[in-house]
Amino acid sequence: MDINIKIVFAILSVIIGLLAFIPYIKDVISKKTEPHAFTWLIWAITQGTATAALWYGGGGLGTIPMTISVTCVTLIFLLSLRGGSTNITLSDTIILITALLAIFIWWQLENPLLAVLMVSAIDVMGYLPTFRKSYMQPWTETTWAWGAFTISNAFILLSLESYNMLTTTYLISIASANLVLFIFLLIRRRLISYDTNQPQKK
Amino acid sequence: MIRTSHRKNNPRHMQITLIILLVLAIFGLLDTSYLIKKRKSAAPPVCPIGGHCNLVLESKYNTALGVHLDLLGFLYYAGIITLTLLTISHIWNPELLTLLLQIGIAAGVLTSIMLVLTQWLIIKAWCFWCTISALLSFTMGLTLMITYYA
Repeated sequence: MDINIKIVFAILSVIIGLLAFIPYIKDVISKKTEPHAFTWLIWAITQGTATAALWYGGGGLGTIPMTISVTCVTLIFLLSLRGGSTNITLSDTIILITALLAIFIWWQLENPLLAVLMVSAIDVMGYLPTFRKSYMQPWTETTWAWGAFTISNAFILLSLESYNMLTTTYLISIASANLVLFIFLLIRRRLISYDTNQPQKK
Repeated sequence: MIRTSHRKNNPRHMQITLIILLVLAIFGLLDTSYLIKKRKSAAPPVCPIGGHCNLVLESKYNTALGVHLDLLGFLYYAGIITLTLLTISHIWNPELLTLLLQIGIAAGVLTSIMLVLTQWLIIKAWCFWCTISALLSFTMGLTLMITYYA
């Protein structure tokens, strides 16, 4: 029997993505994780647009993983309104407004490459509030989930049929951002626990 | 009874909700301004994910009581921005302002439901910018509902 390796990679990416989302949502409900509402709002809009475009364009089965993903992202945004981080600053609001203005411009672009570059930049911008919040509060994120999101993104990359700027830019940018956030959380957790274990100077 | 008391909610979460409402309303204002601009210049708007924007925008359902819906939408978002700013700044009765905000957004959600149904069942075509405006209304409604009632 011929098994298409690309389909295997695609299935793996969906399973790992779900394995990361479900415990993350569970942690948000049990208040272990405090997501940043602005980050998840930006992603809900960008991913929502991409999913709507796929459905409208007749994306078929390929739209199902995107629909699951955007549902989880939207759910996390809604949960963050009650149990999310309250560590929100003026800089976060400026980032949210900038991202939404960029989304508005992105919707009017007719050049596909420019549109992909723009949405990649917007999604990466969405990480900034979470990075800032996690600098002092690295315990308010489910660290390993970000590692799992990175692996899921890597499998989507491996499942692509063709590799070019249009197909890889977005995936590489979010996979890199997920990986950097994962490492950042690990380092900050270690540094903060190291600081608190040091004897206090009198 | 509409609950407007701030006491049972985390004030910080309420503040975040108001910021989100404000930013979404600014987004709505941009959306409707774009539609007004395109209507005035008689140029077709960009339809990012396809659809038939013009079919919807040029239909007989694009006005209410003789006023263009894009203009009504613009006024609606401007009203929400004003109410949100007044609530954030605490310069007037915040309980009453919150109540007005809730009534305003509830009216926006109901109107959006009607307009989405009109696109879907009557015109049988979708306008991207009108749908975005409806989604913004729904998001604002959900945001307010979760913060105040969940």
